[in-house]
Amino acid sequence: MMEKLSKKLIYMILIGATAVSLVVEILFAHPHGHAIWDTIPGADIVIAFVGCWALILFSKKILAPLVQRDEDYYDKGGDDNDE
Amino acid sequence: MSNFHPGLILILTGFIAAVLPQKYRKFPLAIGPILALAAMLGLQPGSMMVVPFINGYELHFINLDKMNWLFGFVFCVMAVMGGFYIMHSESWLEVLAGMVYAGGIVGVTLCGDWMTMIFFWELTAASSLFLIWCNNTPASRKAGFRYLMVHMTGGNLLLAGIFLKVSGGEFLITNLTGTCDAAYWLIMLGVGINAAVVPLHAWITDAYPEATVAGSVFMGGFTTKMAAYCMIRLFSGSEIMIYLGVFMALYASCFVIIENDMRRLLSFHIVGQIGFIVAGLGVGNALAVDGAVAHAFTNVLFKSLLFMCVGAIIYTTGIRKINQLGGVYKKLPLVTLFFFIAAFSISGVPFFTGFISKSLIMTGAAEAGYLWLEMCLKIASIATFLSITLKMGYFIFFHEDNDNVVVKRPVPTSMYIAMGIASFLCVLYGVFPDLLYSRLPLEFEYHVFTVDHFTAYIQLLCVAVIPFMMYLSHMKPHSQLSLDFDWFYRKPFVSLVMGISSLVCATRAALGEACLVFYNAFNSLMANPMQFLNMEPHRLESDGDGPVPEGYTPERYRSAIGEPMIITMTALLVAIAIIALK
Repeated sequence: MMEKLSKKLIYMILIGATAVSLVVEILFAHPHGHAIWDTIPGADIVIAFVGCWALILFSKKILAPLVQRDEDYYDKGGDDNDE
Repeated sequence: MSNFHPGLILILTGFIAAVLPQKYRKFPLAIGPILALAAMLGLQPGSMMVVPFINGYELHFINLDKMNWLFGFVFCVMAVMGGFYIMHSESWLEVLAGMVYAGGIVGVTLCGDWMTMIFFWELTAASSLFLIWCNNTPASRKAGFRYLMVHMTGGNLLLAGIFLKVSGGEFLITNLTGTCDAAYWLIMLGVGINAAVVPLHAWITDAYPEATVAGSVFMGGFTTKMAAYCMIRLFSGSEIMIYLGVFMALYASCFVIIENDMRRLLSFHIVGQIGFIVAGLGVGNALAVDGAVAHAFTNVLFKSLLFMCVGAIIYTTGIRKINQLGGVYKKLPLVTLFFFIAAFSISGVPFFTGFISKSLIMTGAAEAGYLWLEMCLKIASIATFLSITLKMGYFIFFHEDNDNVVVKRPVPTSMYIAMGIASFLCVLYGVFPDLLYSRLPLEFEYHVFTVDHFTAYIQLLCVAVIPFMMYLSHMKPHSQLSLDFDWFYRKPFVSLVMGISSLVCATRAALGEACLVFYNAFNSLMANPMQFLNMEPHRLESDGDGPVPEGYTPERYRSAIGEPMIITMTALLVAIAIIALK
């Protein structure tokens, strides 16, 4: 229960900080970037959320099954066990 | 002080520390690097140290401009931190290797000609090898051997390129962009191996986790950053570097999310951060190149601090896997503080060093029109925050207590001093970026502390926490090994070598058999050449009582004495008769 509450609190802090930064960006920022994400307020929120999910899902669901092996992978099979 | 070479001071420090008893070793290790730093500060852009060599060739031990002064300075600072961090070491060889390695790195950075560069380059490769072997485990011995093979290959490629340059009359190091000859590619390969350019990077994730605790700090701070300096010096403006750099950054970004070994994870991050630098130098405009220089500078500080923190955890607990740790903040609170300073720095949190250097590269890329590059680097930044600040930070320090985590020995004060210096510098340069910007080689106008920069980073970093928390139960790494490009030379290449070896052995054995058959046949054929010539023996039986001997026996083929005697006598008589008749 406590863990759920603290998790909820963290979510609220994060969303609050993001919302404040968004408001500040809209009111005070003078973007001098060249890309569309530099001109639309809050574009970095979308980039971070989508990018983060894409990275996690790609790494965990596609990359990990492809490249992860047992820790003694190199020690079995006779190529590396010369000790 | 301008007459002293900081690298040579470090090398000398290593030898002095190595011959002293352990209890006195801390004095040269503290004083030597500080003297080297003082010597470095005594040098200024434009300083030179030239020594005559053979055939009119001059060795430019020091040939300073703004860029290599900055790198020389940060490497000397790194040597100071390294000197403190390695003080606890009981091995004279480790101390010697560490300081000679640091001296070699400074030597490569400050030199102005190819010959001096290759000398110090090989010195760094040879000395750093012992930082791996000093760990003295079966895994470190094997990893060290692979490290040696890779670096000797890289060193020889570089040597071949340098040979072409020097034989063509080019003695001094210059930017190679636009040449595209054999020397260009050979030098790029040689430097690329040291700079951990994917797919030539696997030595780093293979060897660094197996080095000694202090060794990985030295290596994490030095080799790749020295190679990054060479990349900037030699290949600034080469467009191929943009693609290599972005691939490095994204490649590492994916692996760091699944990696479990702390030092291996940080090694992947070295690849990723060097990717930022390589992409920046590839863009080639003043902002991006200066960003690459600045990022290499800040990288030395926060990457070495990260290696120091995980080294301190490994030193005290003996545990190197993330999933075996938890609740470390209660046992090592200061290390926790230093770790998060480094993590915030590498993630680009405002007022920490990464923020002031990453944003330079990204803005430079955007100004040059590489918007896709800016986007890719933003995603790589998110991955850095996700894997170091969130994943490592949470699972090592704040995840539920693990009973296996026992502080077996306290963190030495000297280690804390080293971490304290690095942390201080991470914050100092983060808060006062002009200390670094004013020293950068190219002129540019850039304001890092603007509202849009702050809001962009706050949004990127805050929002990245949400998927991490939503997926928290799956984010904990498993006790598994991630295969990397070293797989090619640890599995198929080994099989290929074994296959070729077996083929050579089988061919040798078959040739031996064939030779034996031929030899026996020849022997039996030549046992009696008279038989081979179809000549019948004059005598079929032996002279004695024994059996008839096999093979050739002269006695059996010798004719009776009477026949030649009759012929001889007849000829004699004929001759006498002719003489008498005359």
